[in-house]
Amino acid sequence: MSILFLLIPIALILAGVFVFGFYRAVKGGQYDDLNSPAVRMLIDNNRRNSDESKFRTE
Amino acid sequence: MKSTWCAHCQRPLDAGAKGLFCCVGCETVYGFIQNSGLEDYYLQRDQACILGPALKAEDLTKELSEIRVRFKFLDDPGSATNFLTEEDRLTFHLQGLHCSACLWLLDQLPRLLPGVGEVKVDLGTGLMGVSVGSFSRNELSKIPSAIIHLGYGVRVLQNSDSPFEISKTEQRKNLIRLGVAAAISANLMIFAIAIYAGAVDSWGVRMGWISGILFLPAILYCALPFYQSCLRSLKSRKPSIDLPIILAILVGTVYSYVKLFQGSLDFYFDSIAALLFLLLASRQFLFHVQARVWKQTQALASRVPLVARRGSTEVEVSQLRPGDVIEVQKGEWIAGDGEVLEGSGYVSFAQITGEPSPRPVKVGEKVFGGTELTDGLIRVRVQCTYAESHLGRLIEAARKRLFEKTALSEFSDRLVNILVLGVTVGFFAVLLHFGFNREGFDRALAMLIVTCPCAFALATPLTKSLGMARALSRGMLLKSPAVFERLRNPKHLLWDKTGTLSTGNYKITSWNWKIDPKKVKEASALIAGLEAQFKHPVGHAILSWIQENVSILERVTPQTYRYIPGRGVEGTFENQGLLKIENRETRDRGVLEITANGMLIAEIELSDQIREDAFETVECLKKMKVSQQIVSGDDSNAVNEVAQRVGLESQHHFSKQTPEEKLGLVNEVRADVFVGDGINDVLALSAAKVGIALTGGVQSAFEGADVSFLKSSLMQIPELLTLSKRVWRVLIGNLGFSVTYNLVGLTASILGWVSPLFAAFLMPASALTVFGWNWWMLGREEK
Repeated sequence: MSILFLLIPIALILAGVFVFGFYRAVKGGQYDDLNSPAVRMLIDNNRRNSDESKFRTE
Repeated sequence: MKSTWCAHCQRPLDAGAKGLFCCVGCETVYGFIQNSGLEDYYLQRDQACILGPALKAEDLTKELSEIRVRFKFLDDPGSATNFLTEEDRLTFHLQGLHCSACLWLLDQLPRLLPGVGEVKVDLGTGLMGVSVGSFSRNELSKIPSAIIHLGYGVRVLQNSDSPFEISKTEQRKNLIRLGVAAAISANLMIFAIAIYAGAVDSWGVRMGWISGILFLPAILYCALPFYQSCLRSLKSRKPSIDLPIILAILVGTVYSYVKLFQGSLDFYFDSIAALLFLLLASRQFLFHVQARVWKQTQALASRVPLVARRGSTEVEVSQLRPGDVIEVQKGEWIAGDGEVLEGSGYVSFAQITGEPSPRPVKVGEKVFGGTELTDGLIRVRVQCTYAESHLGRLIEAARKRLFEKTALSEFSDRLVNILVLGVTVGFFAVLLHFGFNREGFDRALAMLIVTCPCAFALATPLTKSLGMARALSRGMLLKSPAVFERLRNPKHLLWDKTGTLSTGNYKITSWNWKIDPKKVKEASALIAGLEAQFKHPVGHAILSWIQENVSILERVTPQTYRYIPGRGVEGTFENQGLLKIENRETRDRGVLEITANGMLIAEIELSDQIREDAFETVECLKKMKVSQQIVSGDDSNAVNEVAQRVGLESQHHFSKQTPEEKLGLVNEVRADVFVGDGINDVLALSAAKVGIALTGGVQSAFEGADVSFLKSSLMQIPELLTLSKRVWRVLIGNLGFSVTYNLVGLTASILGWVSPLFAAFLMPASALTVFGWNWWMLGREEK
């Protein structure tokens, strides 16, 4: 059972990594809006004209 | 073939409109979108959008530079700091967002304005965040004006806006706490399994130590909100539902650490961590549901005036100060309470007094914010800002009422207080009785945990929020959840006639020409030309009749024309020199006379169109044993005719009632429900126990009505009644279940039948049961 001396720290470190990842995700605002991304998926990306120079700026 | 919908906002085109658009605004926006190379928007929209018409771009007729002036305060880096968040971002509230095509369109903003960074649009709330990025700080006003040009109403939010919402950072912190609690409790359970599986001696102790260390972040970080709320409750000497929980957690923690140091395996780290996680999760869930309802309501409520014209510039309404002079043109809304300085016109006071016809105003008279100037031109000296104006305060008051308490919630609050005190006292009583040993702690701890009133205290707000969300999804906007309680057993309902049972649209039932048939076409051209100048339901009826029955080539526009309130319209035509007067005798069951230069040329009979679902709704309500009566300002013939067509001929009805009389009637008859038109029945709506506004949109809900329908469908009324009964049943069920559960749990734990670990699972199980039942009854999407 002495393998546990290795496994437990590894498990804890792994858990820590995931928690840190979660922290980064929340801080980065990924959980702020749970509605729009769902709708965004439905948008197709078939643009008829790809003429960028048409964009008007004042 | 002419299309019948506006190419931009998809609203049906008026009978007289030419071309593809309903107004200049829509045409402008369409042009802008096309010229910017974003015409894919319309493609997307036709594929993806099923949610109905976009914002009618009425106000967007100005040039880009003129609109920018409105947002001048953003161009000055000093004052702009009030609006920039810490991440250098501007937050806007948008009107007119409604589908994924809109998302796509707004996402293209960085291409329109190079330098602008990330754009985040939240469809649910209408909030939009734009990162300023490398965009010039002196030209920030270009951003909101570009959004307007894309066809949306825009309001810039200050950093201190929305006092009712928790800030985003706060929300994120709570989420992180929840995540950490989840990770810790899950891992603790893994280590605990070893002990349950029989690990003893050295390995058992090691597991114990690992658990004890892993537990620290949970107790020191995740539990912080509970400590804070406890401190607050102790300071204000009001028992809070968190008190027993904190007690259980702290006592359990101390006990566990003591046992750990003693080398025993009698600790509760896993149970307490699990408890913490489940508590945080339920709180988060509840908050999420409440916030969703709140935000949806807020988003809808933004139909208040956005701009006013001060001098020659347009300013945001929030920038107005007392003493400012604003100019209001025909068809515009008055932006604040004030006094008329110059000019004259007609103002519709319907929102304030319930009067249906506009009143003339002149210099020196007082006008109110939120009312419409139907004719004329006035300059108003603003006396108070919008927030302090009559309307502004009404809206604010209505917002606060959204969380108001009712008799039932008062009762359950008091019950919770008793429970909390009782349980805390009981805790120490049990300890004293059984002693400060394992047995005593087991029972006391179990008792504390089991009788947590969380299910109790969280369930009621949850039920209310779910009910409101369900109503909202059906197109019913409730001012407060108290409506459910008041509507659970309605006995008596008053219908307003015009605009409610009847659609407010008229049909020509007979048209008698009194002139030579050869002259009919000519006459019709003139009549149509005159009526086309006004937006009036009677005019529409006349226009469509002419369109269907007389083929005229071209309408003739009058040289002058005017509307005589309560009487009709008249106009003069070149060459004909004709003054056409259309005399209206009564408002709806009416006979019109068309005269040319005094000579009668036609007589018309009009009648009201009854709403399609009126008969069905009345039947439905009859089955629900609701007695119904009709109230109206018209004469008894008109009222009786409508009553017959809806199936209420056997009842007694009230006719010729003024708005004040309607109010008195509501009180006298003690009507449970009054259903009316949000604009014109404000008085009666606010007096009734529950006032339902069928039309008038959002603004009506914040004025007199308790309920505002966003779709004008009468069958929503029985639907609302059914929903209220259901909500009531759930509320009572919550109460009943909580009381029973607590009594049983209390007894069981004192008798020693429940271990703290078991209690830690029993308590969330009860909470989950209650939540699950709530969700089952109110949260599911029905077909």
